[in-house]
Amino acid sequence: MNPSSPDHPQPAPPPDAAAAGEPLAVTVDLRKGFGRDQVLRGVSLNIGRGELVGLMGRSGSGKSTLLHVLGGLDREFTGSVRLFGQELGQLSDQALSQLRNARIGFVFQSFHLLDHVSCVDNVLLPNAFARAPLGRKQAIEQAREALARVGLGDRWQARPSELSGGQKQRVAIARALLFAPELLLCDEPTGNLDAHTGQQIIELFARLNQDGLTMLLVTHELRVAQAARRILRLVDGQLVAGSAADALADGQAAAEALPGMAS
Amino acid sequence: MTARQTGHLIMQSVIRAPRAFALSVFGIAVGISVLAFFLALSQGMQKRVLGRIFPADRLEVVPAKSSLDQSALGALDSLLGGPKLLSDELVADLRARPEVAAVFPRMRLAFPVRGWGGESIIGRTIYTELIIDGIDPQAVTEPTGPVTFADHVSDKNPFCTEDKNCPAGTFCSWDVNKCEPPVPVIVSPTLLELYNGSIAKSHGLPRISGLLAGRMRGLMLTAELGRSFVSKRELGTAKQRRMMLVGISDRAQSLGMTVPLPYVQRWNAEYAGERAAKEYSSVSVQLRPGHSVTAVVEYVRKLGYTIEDNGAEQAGLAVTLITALFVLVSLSTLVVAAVNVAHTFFRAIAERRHELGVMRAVGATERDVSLLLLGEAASVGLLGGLCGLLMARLGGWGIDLLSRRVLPEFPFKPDSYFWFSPELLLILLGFSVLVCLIGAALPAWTAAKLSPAQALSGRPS
Repeated sequence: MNPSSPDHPQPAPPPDAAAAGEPLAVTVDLRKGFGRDQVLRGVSLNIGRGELVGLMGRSGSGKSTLLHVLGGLDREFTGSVRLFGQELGQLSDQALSQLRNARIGFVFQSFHLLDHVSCVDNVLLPNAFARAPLGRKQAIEQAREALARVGLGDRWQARPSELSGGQKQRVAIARALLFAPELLLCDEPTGNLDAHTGQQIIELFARLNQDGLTMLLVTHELRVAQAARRILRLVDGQLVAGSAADALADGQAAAEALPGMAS
Repeated sequence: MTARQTGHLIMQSVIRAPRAFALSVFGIAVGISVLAFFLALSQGMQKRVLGRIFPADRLEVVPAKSSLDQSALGALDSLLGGPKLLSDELVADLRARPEVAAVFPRMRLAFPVRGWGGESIIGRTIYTELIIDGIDPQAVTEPTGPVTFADHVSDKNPFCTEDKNCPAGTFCSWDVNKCEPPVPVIVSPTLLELYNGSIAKSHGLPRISGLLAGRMRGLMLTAELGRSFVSKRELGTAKQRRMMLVGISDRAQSLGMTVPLPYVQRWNAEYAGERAAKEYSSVSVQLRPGHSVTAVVEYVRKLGYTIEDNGAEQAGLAVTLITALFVLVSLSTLVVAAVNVAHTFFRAIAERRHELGVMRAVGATERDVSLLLLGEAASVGLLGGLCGLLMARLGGWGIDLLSRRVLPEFPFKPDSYFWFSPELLLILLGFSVLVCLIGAALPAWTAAKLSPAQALSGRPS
């Protein structure tokens, strides 16, 4: 990792990234590759507090990779990534893990729930790795509150295998919300859901954002992008200027490229 | 991650894949049970069989055998004085050594003695040659009775001409006209084992054990000094002495009877000459715990004596070699089990890649992931170790039971062939955990080093 190497002098933050409120996440000339393939090629962006940002792009454009880097899940990059005022490249594994635990929530397309434990234990997973974990009783109360917030207050003892796709995604969202994170990073959160359930999840995100939660939604779906206040387009690893219509066109193209995803 | 949280997550993982967990536990249990079985058998043989026949903390110093003994020059060697004699000077030298706790000289009777008795135990009078030696009475620490194992001859003993002149429990030694308690005699457990294992069975005599062994104390016999049932040679004036068995001690000679040293010294002086009363046949050396046997052996050899070759070294070596062979087999089993653990964990990591990725995403550090997997491995080792030790213990009980019910009696047949010492159990339990930790170390390290993004996306590392 070399976030500010001499080969990549840090340019000023892009002027088009003026965001609502104080910037919560800032990337400058972010580059990332897998072998010879450059996936991110000088991405610079700002995400302000309280924003709900949509990140669109064709399949393979680097959307998920950008989300992973922003969330501190991938440390192999060059350029600068500042989150909550901290340079991610300079944080130790422990500090970065603590940051993810306390201040960032993740929602993934395939939910990533532990099938062998109940909903409440899934929601409680971050508590196992907290610096000061809650006591069992208090943790369960907090997890049940998080489940109630996503509309699953009565299913806290169910196993994921007993839930529908939408319910599983709600459990994953409740898990992400356990410690009231400042930033929620969602990677294709409605990708595995039907249109109706997906719409419910989008509405849930909108409500969370209204409550002040900053969110980045990686998606190629039009309806998800429409919920965002600001849409970023990633083309071949670079953020490109363009209108919402272009982004929607990207989304349309991506959707058409995936069997069964056209809407 | 706190210990409680770690334990909770480990439990969840174990419950999630009980079959894989059980298979790993079984592999370790088999290896540990085989290892525990043979180590306990070895310890048992050393302690319960060899230890009884050849006490490890004792040495028997004897005169060095001259290399000339076996040749025609043996006569020349005899002319030159023969091997160096065991004397009081040697006893004093040995007592001064820091490794030595006590030194007890022994002396063989240098002339024939015959005896008869045994009615109270065997039911009829047995006539036999008596093989007698004497030992320093202080060597005998086992309880003796009704007469103490000591020299009871004294000028103050009352005058008598026949037994009825003497107080109860004493007998008239008519040659000196003194009332004397019977000469105290001890016999070795080896002799009892030989009697029970061979003589009793072949001669239709009762076995001496338990209650009967207790009744043996007080057994009287009569010894006639200077006379023999085997040869017609007669030495001096025959004297009769009453003897009483007062105890069973491993200080007694293996095949024969042992009396307090002063009796043998006086009788040798009278029947075999002054020199025979001064030459010890051997010197028994008791070592202090934890001190080197080798240093004493070297010292003894340097003085021109040697250590009696009683076969202990060879027997111990044989047991050690056999144990080493089986331990090697057991260790091979454990290596296979460790490889199995490694394979299981590598497979588990591949299967749980997304799960580990999620854990990392919600805040698990590299150390947390390592700890979690190593904790799972340790639980495999702990449970496998406990099961293995239980299996070994049950196997040991089975063998012991079979031995008691099926095998015929033989000398030194132990109640149990195994010695499961607490130290052995603890060491093996620790070893079991260690083997699993070693097996899981590389998979745990690999999992910890896996980037969360790689784990979540399924990209190759």
